[in-house]
Amino acid sequence: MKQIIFMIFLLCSLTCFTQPNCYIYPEGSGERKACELSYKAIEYPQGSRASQELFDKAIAIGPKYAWAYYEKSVPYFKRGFLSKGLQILNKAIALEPREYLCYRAYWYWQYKNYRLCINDLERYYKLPKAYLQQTPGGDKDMKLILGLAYAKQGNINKGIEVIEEFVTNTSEDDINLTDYHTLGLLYTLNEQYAEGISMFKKQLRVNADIPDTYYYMGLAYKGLSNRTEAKIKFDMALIKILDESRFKIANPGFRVYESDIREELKSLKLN
Amino acid sequence: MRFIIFLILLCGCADSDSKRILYPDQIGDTIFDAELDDPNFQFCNAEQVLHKRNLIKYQNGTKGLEKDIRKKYIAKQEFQAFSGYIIVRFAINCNNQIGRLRLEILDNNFKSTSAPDGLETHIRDSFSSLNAWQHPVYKDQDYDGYSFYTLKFTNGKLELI
Repeated sequence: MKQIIFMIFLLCSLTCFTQPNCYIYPEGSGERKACELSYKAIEYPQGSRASQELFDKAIAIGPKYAWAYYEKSVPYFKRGFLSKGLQILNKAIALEPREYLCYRAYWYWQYKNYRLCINDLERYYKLPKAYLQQTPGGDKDMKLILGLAYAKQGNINKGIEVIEEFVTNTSEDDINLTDYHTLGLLYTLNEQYAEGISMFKKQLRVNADIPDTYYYMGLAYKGLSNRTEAKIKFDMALIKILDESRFKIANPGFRVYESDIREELKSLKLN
Repeated sequence: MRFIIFLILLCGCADSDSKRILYPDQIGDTIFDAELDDPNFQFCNAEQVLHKRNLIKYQNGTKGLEKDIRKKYIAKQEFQAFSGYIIVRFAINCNNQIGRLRLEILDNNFKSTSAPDGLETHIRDSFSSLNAWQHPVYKDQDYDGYSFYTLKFTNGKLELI
């Protein structure tokens, strides 16, 4: 049920990235024409010549229409052309920072520049009327990306603080499928094992199909010297990760591999 | 009159040429460059090279790739001057061969910069010699495809991938 709700939520969040209604712009204005041309552009495959040329026309006729810059930048980011993508997206941010800063932060995160990701998100959350924004794929709120980015920069306490605040202020019905897991893994990395286990137990009520959850839960039990429970969790992590149809976390921050689990099981046998 | 027709034709040609130069069929399509590319690398179907990065796998995932790159990377003295990022774009053909590598060198603020002599070639050679790629399989069909990875360096040391 939770997964169905997630899919519905995902579809809703994706619609947030679709363009606004062209009729909100005055008839005959550059923005109206740019908006209509952008509609035509997205009828072609993303990144195709026809699509990019229509975005260029839209930008030429309505240079203040931010969505055209944003949409034109997307294939560059997705295909490894970071500089070109930034060059275009920065124009959208200059026009509408509240709408597009999170998108740039997301790509800074994807391209492993955690400092720039943090800078953008801190700037975003200080903006008047900043609202909660999800990742483009809708898997988690950008607050979790901020928390993970702090942790990646070595500031786990700050990361925990940000995600704790988000989780505390979000009802269990609105929580995403991996939020408790993310907080639990940061607790575990921070050697707050009891808090980690408590958070993973909450996670298992939301989504019990993530191998990573069992792995980090195993690490937390190991941290508390509870070898029996640690082994049970590592065994479960192995079963889950060997399942081809397993749940894969998007933007995990700290990904778990089969070899990590096997190493832990081996280490338990040795000690 | 003939001169005017000639001029009109010339303008028409120039216009279509400039359009052709502006964008490839798909953003990221990488045409052969004799100075950079191995002529032995061929796409199985150059008309249908996928831009679906997630479909290109490496044996043992990113961790396996990171392990193999670390084995190949030698942090020479002259590389210590470099802190920043190298984005490596490449193609994998349906025979799991790598080719069409293109590198983007960026500083820590993601501004374009240059790498010390030899670093770019070293990274290009390291990637070119990786041999555990798995080409894209989409709807039970084998494909060629494009992908990329980001490498981060601090004082010439490879930090993360």
